[in-house]
Amino acid sequence: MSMREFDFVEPTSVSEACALLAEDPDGSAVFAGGTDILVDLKAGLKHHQRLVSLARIEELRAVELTADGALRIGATATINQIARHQGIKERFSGINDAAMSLAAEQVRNQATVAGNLCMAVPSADMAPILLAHGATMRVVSPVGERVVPLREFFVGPRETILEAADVVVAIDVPPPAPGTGDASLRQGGRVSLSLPMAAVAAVVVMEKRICREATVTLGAVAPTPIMATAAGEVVTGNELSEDVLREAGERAAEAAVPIDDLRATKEYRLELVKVLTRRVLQAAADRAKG
Amino acid sequence: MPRKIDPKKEPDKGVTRRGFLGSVGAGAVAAATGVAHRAEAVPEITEPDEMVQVALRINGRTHRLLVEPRWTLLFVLRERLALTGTKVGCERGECGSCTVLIDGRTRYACMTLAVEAEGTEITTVEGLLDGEELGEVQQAFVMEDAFQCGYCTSGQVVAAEGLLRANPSPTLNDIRHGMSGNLCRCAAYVHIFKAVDHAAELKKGGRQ
Repeated sequence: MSMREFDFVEPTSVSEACALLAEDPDGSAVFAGGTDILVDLKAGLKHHQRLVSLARIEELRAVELTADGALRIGATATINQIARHQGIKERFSGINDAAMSLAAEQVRNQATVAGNLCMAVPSADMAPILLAHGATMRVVSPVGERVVPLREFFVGPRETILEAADVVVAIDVPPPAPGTGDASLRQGGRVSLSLPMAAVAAVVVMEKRICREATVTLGAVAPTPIMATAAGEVVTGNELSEDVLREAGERAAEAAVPIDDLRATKEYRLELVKVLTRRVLQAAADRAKG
Repeated sequence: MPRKIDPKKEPDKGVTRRGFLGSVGAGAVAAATGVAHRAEAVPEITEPDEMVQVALRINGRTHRLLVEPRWTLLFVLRERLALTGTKVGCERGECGSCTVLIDGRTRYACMTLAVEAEGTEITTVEGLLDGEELGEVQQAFVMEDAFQCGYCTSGQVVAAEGLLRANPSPTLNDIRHGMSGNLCRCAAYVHIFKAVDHAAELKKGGRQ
């Protein structure tokens, strides 16, 4: 066994979890699905004296679509809870896209949406679409609860605003306006079990053929998932013509600051952003129900 | 939740079980012999690392055992329970050779801690037998010649079982998507996909 010893605690309430984390903030880590943290522990990249599991906290498991159309994803809801949720498939197709694209079946059965965001890798599959929907994170700490917009959540690669004794308890997605369509697209080296070289998500509000609002977000092409605000502005107030889509792609690429790495070159990523932006905007618009 | 047998406590935070037993033992010795305890005269006792007791329900049978929190389910299955049908591959959640079912859903046993699995129903490839006979998925893999070296096969079989429980009539695309967490170094994929399709029919009492 390559992992060093650790203590595994399974509190049954959020307040208990916070208290356990606060006892030893530097030596503790929150444990949910474990698909990221165990890889790091096995590789010796990290060591934690204590893992605080959220798995036995009943209230964190739920995925709820409320009557007004809002979506609440509990902290330990798995990727497959999202991918198999019929209501999400219909009302947040883009979130379904992202969930279906993450890793493979075994990982989707285990990994959590909140964990995908909290690990804050730039290529996190769930990040662009949730960012585009204006999702917020509900964070509980020993001193109270706060709401953090996802757009303020990421600080850098594998870095978030979370403090050591913070526990993300839910992700809230506001109800989409009438006429909203969404989509999330990514390009990896292969379809499954690969991180994307680039990912683009879009949420658009259509009124007949005119786009009234558009939000475009990017993953894997900057230190964090980012908004491509200018790309959305190009589309807003227009029909999605070939020219408009092309222009949106160019603007999205201007927002990207990709790096060369083992998965792709900077140049290739910029091309992907252009192409994926066009496709994802079209897909989102096609799904919009007026 | 696993019952903590030996809670780890810093000496300054309280009495550890180890320390407590040590002092009781020393006291008892001192009382019995009337000789003052001298630490250097007593051989050291090395206890196993912090263990917790878990009850794991595997293939319908409950196993009560002591585990370290850092032990993966894969390690416990193979090294403690001799259920070696579950294979060790990448050990990092990418190859699928250690696939098991937890509450009917596929999971990587290398990415699951044994302590996490308490309270769930675990099914390994050994649990897919139909009495002494091969189960439907296993039969289908034989009939379709869905392997070469066979190392990934038990993981493939369990993944197929999980897929078919969730979706009894998968399309080829569903099969490709559902089986994509299992790599086959011999690239027997085409036959594996056929076997899953075949198994779906066998499960419904169809094609032999």
